[in-house]
Amino acid sequence: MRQRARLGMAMFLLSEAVFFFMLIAAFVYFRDARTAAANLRLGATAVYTVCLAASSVTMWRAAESGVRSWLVGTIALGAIFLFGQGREYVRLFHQNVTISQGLFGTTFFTLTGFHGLHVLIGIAVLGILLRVGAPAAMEAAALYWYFVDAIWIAIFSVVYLWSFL
Amino acid sequence: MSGLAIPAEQPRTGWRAWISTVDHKQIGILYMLTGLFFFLVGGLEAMAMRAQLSLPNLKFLSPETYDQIFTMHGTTMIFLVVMPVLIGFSVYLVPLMIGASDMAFPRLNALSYWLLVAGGFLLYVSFLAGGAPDAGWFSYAPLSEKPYSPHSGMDYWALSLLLLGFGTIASAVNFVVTIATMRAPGMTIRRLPLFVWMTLVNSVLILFALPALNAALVMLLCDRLLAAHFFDPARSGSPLLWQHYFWIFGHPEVYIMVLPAFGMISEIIPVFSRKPIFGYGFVATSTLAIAFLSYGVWVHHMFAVSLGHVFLSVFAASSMLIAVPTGVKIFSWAATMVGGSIRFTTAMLFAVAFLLEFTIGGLSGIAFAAVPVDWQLTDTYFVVAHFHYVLFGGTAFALFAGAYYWFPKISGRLLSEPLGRWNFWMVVIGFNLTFFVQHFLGLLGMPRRVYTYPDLPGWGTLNLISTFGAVILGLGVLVFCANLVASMVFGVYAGNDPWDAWTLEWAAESPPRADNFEKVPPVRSRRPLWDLKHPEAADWAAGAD
Repeated sequence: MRQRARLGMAMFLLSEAVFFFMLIAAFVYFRDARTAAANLRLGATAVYTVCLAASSVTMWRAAESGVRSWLVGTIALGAIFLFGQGREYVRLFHQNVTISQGLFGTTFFTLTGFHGLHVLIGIAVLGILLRVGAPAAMEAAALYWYFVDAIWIAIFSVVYLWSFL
Repeated sequence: MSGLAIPAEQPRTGWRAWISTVDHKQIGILYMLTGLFFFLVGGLEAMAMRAQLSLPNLKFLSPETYDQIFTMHGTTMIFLVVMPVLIGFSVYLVPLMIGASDMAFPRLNALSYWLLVAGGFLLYVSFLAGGAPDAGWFSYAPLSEKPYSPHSGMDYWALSLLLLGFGTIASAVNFVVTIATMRAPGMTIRRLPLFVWMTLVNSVLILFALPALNAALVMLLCDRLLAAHFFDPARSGSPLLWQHYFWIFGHPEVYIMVLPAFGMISEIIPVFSRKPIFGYGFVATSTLAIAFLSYGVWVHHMFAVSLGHVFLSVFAASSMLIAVPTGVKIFSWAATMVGGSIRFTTAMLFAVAFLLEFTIGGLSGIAFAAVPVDWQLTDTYFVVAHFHYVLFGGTAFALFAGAYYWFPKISGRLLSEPLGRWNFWMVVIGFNLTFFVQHFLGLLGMPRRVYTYPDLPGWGTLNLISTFGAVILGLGVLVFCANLVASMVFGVYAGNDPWDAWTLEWAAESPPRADNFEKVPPVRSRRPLWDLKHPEAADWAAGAD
């Protein structure tokens, strides 16, 4: 069962990787580094990125040890990341950068929005695992969480780091 | 898995059993019946188009209605007929063929099916919600964008395809895990029935191709519902991006719709030729080559877009290259028949017709790979003829063959052979009348996707022949439906192994028991049932795989 859950999740994540690749490619296709650098905040987002990366470590500990507090820590770090993304969005709205306001907004909000949705779903799944936890489900959820974190590193690199080069 | 386990007591009969089932056989049947239902719906849409096109300058359908009908016909046939029926066959057969009791994730399997139902419902409810989608199954931007398609049809189209895409991806995950982890002892990857091989490769294709469509769909929905500008040229978006994304999905999709059909043909032709398949390894590995190459040919759908000569040349070459592994298969099937003692059952007739019709479609496809030919013929009826030879003459013929071959396993009764002959000849004659003449219409320059045409020399006659053929084809399909119903009631009992076949599903009862096998036969070669029936001439003793 554990092998099946792992393999099944891995196959699903393969398809997710293609999905995000296409959204990232669209961002690059319409890349507008000047608008990005003028509006995005690199420093704050870097801090939240570290939080998300750290959550992969706590997730790994949770899956290895089965200790609930590691899971709670993972959820908390994921929530902090989402909070950071929310702040970034609100600030951009105030600067009149929205999804309908030019191609930077269109590609930025679609890409980061779908990533944020994935983090949110991950938090919901981990919340369920706090109540009912089969080892196979925990391993599969951990794989998903690592994937969502890794995709963010790619998005952060393309959307933030590349724009500020 | 406490609290998450499947309820142990499952009723096996009655409508409650069918809607709550997680059994792969029942889900497979539901997939196939749902596909058949939409086949009749999509067929009616085709009939409406052929009626409108039967004579020049007819006003049977308005231009707006015609646009909706041809969009719905294409979308229905691809997403609600071909894919569900192929997945249905795989869901039904793969566990039986590898000696498993079910799929790896039975409830995920049921979810995939119900997502199909939801997607089909969402697509068709658009008719009531202000109008069906009308930008073609390819939905080129900016035609699919809000200013040009303001009613909600396109939104329903995109949402429906998203749901169907999720379900298909879930099926693909399920197939990969099932085939990777649930094979009976001795069922090595080199002994897998070719239908299972094709399902496996197909699932990997799905995992890479469908998310590309999903990404394009959410971008389209962002454009339409949130006023984003991905594909809107008026706001510096790019319609070309949609074309790239759609065909990065769309060309692998063509192979997704044909590889399982190849798998069926690879099972049926050997059994009715009484010979093992010629070049098993070539058939299997050429499938991998097709899967790999299918991601490098999408631009041949876009030759009419000015993209630069080097670019076009590369994609022309790759498009010609992909014909090679496909040709390898055609030769393997033909070589399997050579010297065999062929039994022309209806299943075999359809399989042989598949070889001929698919080859015609394949050859006209190679013609298109040459860029100047494509420039001459693109957007004419030649294209319509080409892909119907591939998808109807290819996939649908294989599906008919598969239906006649596996119906006895699924129902316990044989389909009527006399009705089968009527079914076969009406479909073959009707199909070729309908679509062969469309090659000529294309060469004469008749544009596709247009609701009517002027009264130019020859056009009216050829179109009338095409419509006449479509009527025969439609009646042939109705004969098939009648055969299904009549044989369910009056059909001859089939027994476990009516065709004297070799793969494991024929060792199960007809229809198979809930857990498929009382005891899975030992698998020591590619033909475990042959070994069982002929211990003196067993394949494994002869050193075959």
